[in-house]
Amino acid sequence: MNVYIPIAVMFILLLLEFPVAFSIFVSTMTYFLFFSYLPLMMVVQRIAEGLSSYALLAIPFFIMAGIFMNHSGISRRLLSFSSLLTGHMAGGLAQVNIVLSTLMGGLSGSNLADAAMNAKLIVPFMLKKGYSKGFSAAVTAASSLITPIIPPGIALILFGYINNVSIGRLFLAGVMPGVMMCVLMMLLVSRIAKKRGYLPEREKRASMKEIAFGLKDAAIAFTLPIIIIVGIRFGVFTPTEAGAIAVLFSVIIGAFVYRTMNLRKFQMGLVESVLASANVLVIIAVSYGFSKFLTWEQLPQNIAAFIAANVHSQTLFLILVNFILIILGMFIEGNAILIVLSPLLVAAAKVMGIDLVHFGIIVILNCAIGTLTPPLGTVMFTTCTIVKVQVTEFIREVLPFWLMLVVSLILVTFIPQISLFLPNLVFGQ
Amino acid sequence: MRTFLGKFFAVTDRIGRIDIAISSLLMFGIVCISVWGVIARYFLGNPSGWVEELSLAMFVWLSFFGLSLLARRGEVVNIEFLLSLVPRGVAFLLRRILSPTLFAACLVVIIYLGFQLVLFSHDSYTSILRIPYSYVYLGIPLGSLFTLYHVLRHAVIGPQFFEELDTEL
Repeated sequence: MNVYIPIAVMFILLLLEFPVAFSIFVSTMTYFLFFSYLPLMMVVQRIAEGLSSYALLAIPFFIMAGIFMNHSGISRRLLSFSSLLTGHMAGGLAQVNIVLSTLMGGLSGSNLADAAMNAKLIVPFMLKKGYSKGFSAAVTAASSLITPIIPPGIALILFGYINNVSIGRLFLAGVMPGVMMCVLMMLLVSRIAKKRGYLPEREKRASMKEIAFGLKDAAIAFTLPIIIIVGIRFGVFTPTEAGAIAVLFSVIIGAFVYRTMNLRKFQMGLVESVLASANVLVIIAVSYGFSKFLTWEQLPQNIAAFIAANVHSQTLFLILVNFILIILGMFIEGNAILIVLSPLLVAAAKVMGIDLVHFGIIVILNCAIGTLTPPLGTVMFTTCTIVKVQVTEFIREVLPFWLMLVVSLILVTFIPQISLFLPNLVFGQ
Repeated sequence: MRTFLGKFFAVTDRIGRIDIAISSLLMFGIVCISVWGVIARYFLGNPSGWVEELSLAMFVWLSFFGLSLLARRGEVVNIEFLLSLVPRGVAFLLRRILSPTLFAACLVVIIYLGFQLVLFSHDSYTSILRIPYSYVYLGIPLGSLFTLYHVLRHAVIGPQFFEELDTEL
């Protein structure tokens, strides 16, 4: 009983559109006021403790790196490179949209940022070429879901930090599922484009010479994820420090190589970075106290024990997890699920003997898919608002993509090697 | 009334703008320190233990001054769904009156308890730099104070000034 009243308070406040962080805060206060004898000051102390982890600093760092990359013109170069690679295929611009999301995953690490960027950058051209609004928005939104699992995805860092799983391994585990989703999505777009007569962007395939020339321009962007993985693998820096290096890298590129960065842009980039990271940081801070009282009340342990007693096979457990998360993802924001719910599920996954790196990719993919669907899909709303398309039209167009994503989820869930092959190869078993 | 309020807020907004400077300087500072940490350990072979400590202290300040920046722009994240289904009057009441009041109340509680924590922890120090924990924790009530100002300001003069704010930045 002690746990359920504060949790109910949280859900009621969330439904009343109260800020997420403070719904969690009020819930925690309710517990401390009515169900415990601890001094109230501890609630604020827990907030400070929630922020005292060096791993968490990786979040503002990578967000900042992504923003500076944008300001320094790297994303524009990646766009022309994507168009060289895929412009000759049916539905050329839609293909470019997907490839750009996958490439940008290595930079921005947030699907919301990616959806917003592609909606502004590519969709206007798609509309001019005769693609329908609904289809353009659907491709943009669906392909942006690839970003959070390509390193250095913010969700990967968050999951690793909360559940004490190696962030380096999680980074690598996301690569193959991400590439697989990219390929599947391109096949789907190609089918739809042929049926509707969406034309290629270029008349013929780009020659190797053109691609090599474009690669030279985009190479700088590709070196960053490589520096990060290699640096972490060989112990030059921790994932957090890798974030700081990524910021330094993007500022240097912007200021000295592309010469697009000036003091004014730098200041604006700093403010943008604070705004983009503060929401998730404050939610993490208040959630620390929240998850503490859940643990005191033994909720995670009870759920894990309940599952262990009633669910006997890994397969059944994974199906159950996917089902729960897809449904919850339709109602709750992805980061909130990750912070509040993933420790509960991980406790059970440990009991079931599931590899936590693999499990992390499953959870993150689920949270991502939830952002695409009503009623609370954040990516859906962002894309529809920028593209100015009706949600109903969007849903009709996004349905095949959604089904394709669910198929990818099933593949990732039941073939652990898709996620685990690379991390095991690089870091050893 | 409007002009009086306008003048009043023109003055207080100048003070309220400090949060922008503080949070961007902190963001910049933490990156510099962490880069230095890598250089010192890997290239100079002389790890700086204070790097982690100082950046974590700054991180607490950054998060709460970041919250203030969010409140200033009205971008504190919430889940917008249910209130689009209820009658407009009810939605207005919840959005513009109940929600800011409860938000402000939360902030007052955090400010009060935060200052208590600051006083309480004045005698304990971080292990390497010997910074009193009170300085680390001070960021929480101070940042919340700025946040409270922005929440109240928006509650009083409404969202019609949001755009002006955006062009300022």
